[in-house]
Amino acid sequence: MMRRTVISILIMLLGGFLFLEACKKQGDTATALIPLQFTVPVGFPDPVYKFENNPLTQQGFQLGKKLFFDGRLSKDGNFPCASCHQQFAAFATFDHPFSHGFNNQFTTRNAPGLFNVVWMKELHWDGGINHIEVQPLAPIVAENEMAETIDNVIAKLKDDAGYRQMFKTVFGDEEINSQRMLKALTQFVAMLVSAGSKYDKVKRGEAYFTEAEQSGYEVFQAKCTACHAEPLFTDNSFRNTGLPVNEILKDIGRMHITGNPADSLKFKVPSLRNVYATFPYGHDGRYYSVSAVIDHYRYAVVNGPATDPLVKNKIAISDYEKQDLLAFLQTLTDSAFIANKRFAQTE
Amino acid sequence: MKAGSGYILCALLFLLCSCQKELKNDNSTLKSNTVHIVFRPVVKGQPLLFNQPYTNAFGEDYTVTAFRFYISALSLKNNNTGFPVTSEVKYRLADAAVGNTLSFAISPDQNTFNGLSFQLGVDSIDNVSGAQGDDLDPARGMFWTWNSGYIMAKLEGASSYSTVPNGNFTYHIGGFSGENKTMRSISVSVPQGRQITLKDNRITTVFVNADIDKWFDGAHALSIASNAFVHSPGSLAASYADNYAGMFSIASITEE
Ligand code: HEC
Ligand code: HEC
Repeated sequence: MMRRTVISILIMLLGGFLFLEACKKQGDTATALIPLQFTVPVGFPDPVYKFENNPLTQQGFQLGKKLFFDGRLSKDGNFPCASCHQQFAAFATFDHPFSHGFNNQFTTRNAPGLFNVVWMKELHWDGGINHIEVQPLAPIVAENEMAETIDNVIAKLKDDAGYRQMFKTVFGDEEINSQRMLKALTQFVAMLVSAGSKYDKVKRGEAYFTEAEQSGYEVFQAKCTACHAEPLFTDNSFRNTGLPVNEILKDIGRMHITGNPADSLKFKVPSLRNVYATFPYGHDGRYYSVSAVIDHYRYAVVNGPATDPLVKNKIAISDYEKQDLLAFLQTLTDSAFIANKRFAQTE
Repeated sequence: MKAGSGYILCALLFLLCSCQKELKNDNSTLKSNTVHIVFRPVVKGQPLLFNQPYTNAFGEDYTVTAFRFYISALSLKNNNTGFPVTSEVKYRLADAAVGNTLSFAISPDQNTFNGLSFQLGVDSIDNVSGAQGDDLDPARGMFWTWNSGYIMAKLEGASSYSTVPNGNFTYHIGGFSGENKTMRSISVSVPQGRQITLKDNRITTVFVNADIDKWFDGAHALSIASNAFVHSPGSLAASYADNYAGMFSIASITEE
């Protein structure tokens, strides 16, 4: 009796499964979804973002990429994500402390490069964004960036037969809503992994540092990795490194989010990967060269109540050490990433 | 053989059902003992009228232009038997401007109760879980894009006591961690120790007042003159949350 029941349940389950599969196929005349693998580079930790409820597919990634390059996500059509995040600058804004946005306005912070975002627990210089999927909402609705409303963006996408088809392929039906748009954008941004620099090759035993790079690496490990921790070159913490407050912007950084005076002038430790491609530097782009940043640590730290103990007494770096440090930091440029056609606009 | 065909029939039935994708699971309409819970935005017990002048406990004039809040885990309870609870929907945005967002239907498994409870706001986990849909869609205007998190409740209007140049007040109350939590568990009881017994084929409706006047004067005294503008998590937002936690009461119960 037991056995019979078990068998009958099995038959039912199997039948149900087959039939469900059949149901799925009915509505799905488009191409089948091609799964996409996210590979964690050797030596990297587990990503924070795990694609839960957002299975990576070739088509999802392509949809995200189309959205990333599409001006229609902005009010006047001129400010796609890619207008501020340019691939040749490792997806930072090339050569600008602030980026152009809607109606001749500028952002109030320096656009960071976009790579290895799935390892970030919090996003933006002040960590105000707590999840990669909701990040795009911030630039889309900001008056000085894309200046659009979520409803308008969705309406524009719905008007486009091409998008309707792509959403249908990726999500199973033509419904377009903010959740789906955000998940697709995330598939693109999440795939921006940079782990192919000379530094990485040295680590994998595929290349060698020059003497200067090697001693620069040693200086770096001694004086910088407490915050710019390998292999991501950030520990994702918020620190006050003694940059005096910008008198015009009065940007108090992390404290803006937490309201806690102990967080005054703390900013997220930026990754130093691709640092030679992302100038200018600092949350407000006040430094025009890596050399100038290092001189800040050497000479210009201004102490306040929340200044990090690691930099309070400045960081002693000799001129020789500085030259080596600069040589090492250049090994963090990932030219293959910056030139990767996969991330370039398709046209 | 006979038994075998029984299995096949069973399997077939199962399959048929499984393919009926849009099967309505709103079984509230099927059960005879349905309870409707209707939230009524009021000021001092009188139904809210947008743009109508009111006066709060500090003698400050005000009008209301928007009033919205998230509801979840709405359940009926019986404090005497301790019987919990029939839970309704996850997250619905109740909006004073959109009548049908204010009523909820529940079909409890038991027929007597003397109170109801619900959560006002959005649980912390759902504030940190990425892109959400339905009533949690950020397009609903209840999500802070620059400081990720949901606005649990929103009250907007105007007052001559507002210190903001345009004379408006905007209370966007949110915050989901630690002391800045603004989600509140609310319990309201049927007045005078009564209890409600559901009868077959009758629809019982419980009207729950949400009194806006309590935003200003409840657990904390929060005049418009002292704050006309709350747009971020913090202790002030938490004080407003304490106040709105006290704005609910069961006003009446009808049967039809
Ligand atoms: C007008 C310029 C501009 C546009 C358009 C723009 N961004 Fe940004 N982006 C920035 C700036 C500036 C920051 C830093 C913001 C901050 O820290 O407050 C940033 C930060 C980010 C970050 C966080 C990176 C980090 O290290 O924390 C991500 C991810 C990102 N943008 C993705 C996007 C996407 C996706 C879009 C399109 C929906 C987009 N951006 C559109 C300027 C822009
Ligand atoms: C106490 C933690 C800490 C230490 C130690 C530290 N940094 Fe930084 N670094 C930061 C933070 C935080 C920022 C962002 C500062 C800002 O914009 O307000 C930053 C910014 C930078 C930038 C600019 C990057 C960009 O994209 O804008 C460079 C370059 C840099 N650091 C190099 C170094 C080097 C080299 C060392 C070692 C000599 C070092 N840092 C030591 C925390 C630290």
